[in-house]
Amino acid sequence: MDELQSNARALLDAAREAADPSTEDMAAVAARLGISAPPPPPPPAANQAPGVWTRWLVAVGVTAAVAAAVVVAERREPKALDPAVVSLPDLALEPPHVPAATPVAVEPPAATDVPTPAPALTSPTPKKRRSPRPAATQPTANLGDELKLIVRARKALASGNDTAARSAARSYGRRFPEGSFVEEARVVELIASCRIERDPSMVRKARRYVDAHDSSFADRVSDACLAAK
Amino acid sequence: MSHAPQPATSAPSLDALYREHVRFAWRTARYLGVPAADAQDVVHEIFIVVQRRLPDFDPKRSARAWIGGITRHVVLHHKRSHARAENRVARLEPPTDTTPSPDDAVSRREAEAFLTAFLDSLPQPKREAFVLGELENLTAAEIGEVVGENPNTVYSRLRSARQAFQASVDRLDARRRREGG
Repeated sequence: MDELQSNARALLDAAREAADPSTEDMAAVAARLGISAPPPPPPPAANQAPGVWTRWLVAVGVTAAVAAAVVVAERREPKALDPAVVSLPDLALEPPHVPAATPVAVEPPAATDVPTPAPALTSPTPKKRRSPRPAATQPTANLGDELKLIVRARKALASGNDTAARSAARSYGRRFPEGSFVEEARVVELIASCRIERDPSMVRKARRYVDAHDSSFADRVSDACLAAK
Repeated sequence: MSHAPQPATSAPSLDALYREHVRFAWRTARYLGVPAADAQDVVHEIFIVVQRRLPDFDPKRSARAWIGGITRHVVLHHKRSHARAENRVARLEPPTDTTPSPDDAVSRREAEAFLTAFLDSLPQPKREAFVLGELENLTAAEIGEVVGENPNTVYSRLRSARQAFQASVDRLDARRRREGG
């Protein structure tokens, strides 16, 4: 796979917007640096697509089919990978995302978004950066409820209320066993449990987790459960 | 003459670099694992280093790759420092604000939380490749410069992370369809 499909791309574009610094943030850092210049203007992508996520959601079910045909065509900046310096084996594309029955009238013809490896890998012409457009699916339709519960667990853990954190994490696991934050819920539960009762069995459990994962989550479990006090 | 000015390749000013790259540095720091509450301090530190090293910067190089390398270094240092801090566990909590707000803001936060959770599940090298390559559109050569690896290694990591992200979003889609249908 050499490019994300439209559903993943749209989510990534929204996340990118979300992480942009505010004008106030940029002005504050500039002031600390002694830079008198005004905060930089928003980049073209932000100018071109304010509220991309909203428009994307609104568009679902109305113009998704049309948008899906368009979304693959554009990017905002030159493509990330320089084909001139990358030598790749043949890539097996993931099968097209087959939409199931859905209450949303128009389900994305995701197959139209499945990239073919050749253009991305062999074309020396930089492509325009992807333009966030209304995509073909609605990947975050249920994230709100998940997020509320996992945030409750995070906050409880951060404030030292380990019992509440563990309870919320377990609730998340029961309610959203395939949820997007299920791994984080496991981590919160592990850390909270370690802090509630750091006995040998918990240490072994944490050790198994850390040994089986190479990630920021594993680092956090290690810090909380295995680091010397 | 080593001090002869060369307008075509003259070093950019700190102001210019800041204006052009602060958003990139900020987003990269955030998605490499810096909590929003620390982002101002970290980005300030990044540009302090930029200022200090500016005399050594070769204008023919990619400024994004150069600043990306500094960002990576500062972020790793920041994370190591906080790993030993007793409030490290608090770092689990991103600055997610769940207070009511317009739909688009909520949804962007959802997307941010989704991506953060995904990135937290990745090994650091894949995380770096994904953030720099997919989010910030650096070339494989630029990413290689940032992380000190050759572009093929970078591409392998990026491809793996991209597949994982696509699968993660597809799972979310599938759940939504099941629950909604």
